[in-house]
Amino acid sequence: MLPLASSCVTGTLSRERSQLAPAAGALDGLVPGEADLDACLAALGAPLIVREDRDQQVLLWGWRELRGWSLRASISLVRGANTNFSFANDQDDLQAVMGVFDGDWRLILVRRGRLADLQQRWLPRVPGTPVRRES
Amino acid sequence: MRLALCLLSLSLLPGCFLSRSHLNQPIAPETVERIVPSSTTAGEVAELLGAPLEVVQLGYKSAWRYEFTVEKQAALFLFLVGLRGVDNQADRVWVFFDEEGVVSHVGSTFAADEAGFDLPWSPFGEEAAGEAAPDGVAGPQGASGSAGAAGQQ
Repeated sequence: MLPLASSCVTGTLSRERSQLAPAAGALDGLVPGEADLDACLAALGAPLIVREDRDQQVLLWGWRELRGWSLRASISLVRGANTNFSFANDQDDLQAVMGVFDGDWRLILVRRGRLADLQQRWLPRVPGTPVRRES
Repeated sequence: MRLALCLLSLSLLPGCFLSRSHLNQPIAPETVERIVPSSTTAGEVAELLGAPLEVVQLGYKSAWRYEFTVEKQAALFLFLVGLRGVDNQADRVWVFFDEEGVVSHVGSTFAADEAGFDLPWSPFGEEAAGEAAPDGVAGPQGASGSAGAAGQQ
């Protein structure tokens, strides 16, 4: 009975970390109009994403620190017919800091939020841009 | 009867696994330190670090990405409950070039060694720093999460 019962209801506790969150206060010195790329790289390290958006450069630093649990139940109603139920309370999204820089690598904008939201709002749909160097 | 008892005992035994996987080649911090802004060229960077994983064109400028990723997983399965931890960390370097193909900036993070076999109750970076500093003052960058982050010009 017990092996059968274990297949009916199972719970999972999970912890997931991807990349490292910025240190506390790392963003304090990153003031638009004052900070530049060097200050951002020193405070936040290497970004996850670098893109160009028109004449501006967009850099994104992202991380995930997640604890969650899930529950899965499987019930045999009649012979040959099972029903499954699963629930998870974790949200699979990365947190991010975005910095927008002008052509001289001066910081002009800082935003913090979900990586997916920032990408959708700020990054062009086509990754990268064509080479414009004249041959 | 004995067989049933044996099966029952086996079903109650916990199972566990540890796994480690990595992607791309490790990046040596000493090699990255040899990249000097305003001096090192794209060709020299390619000689030092090899072909980049990604090249991003930024108008007439460009940026190259190098990355070494480590993922560690630990899981423990008890009778009705499973415990699982995944930690994915990376050594990552972005090298920025100016219009002439000379390095203008370098940003690096060396955190692959930070990946651990953690289970759900393991603290995250800020929590661990809080435990290390009971008065609530966060520790230095290395203790609170941005280990090895560096930028240079």
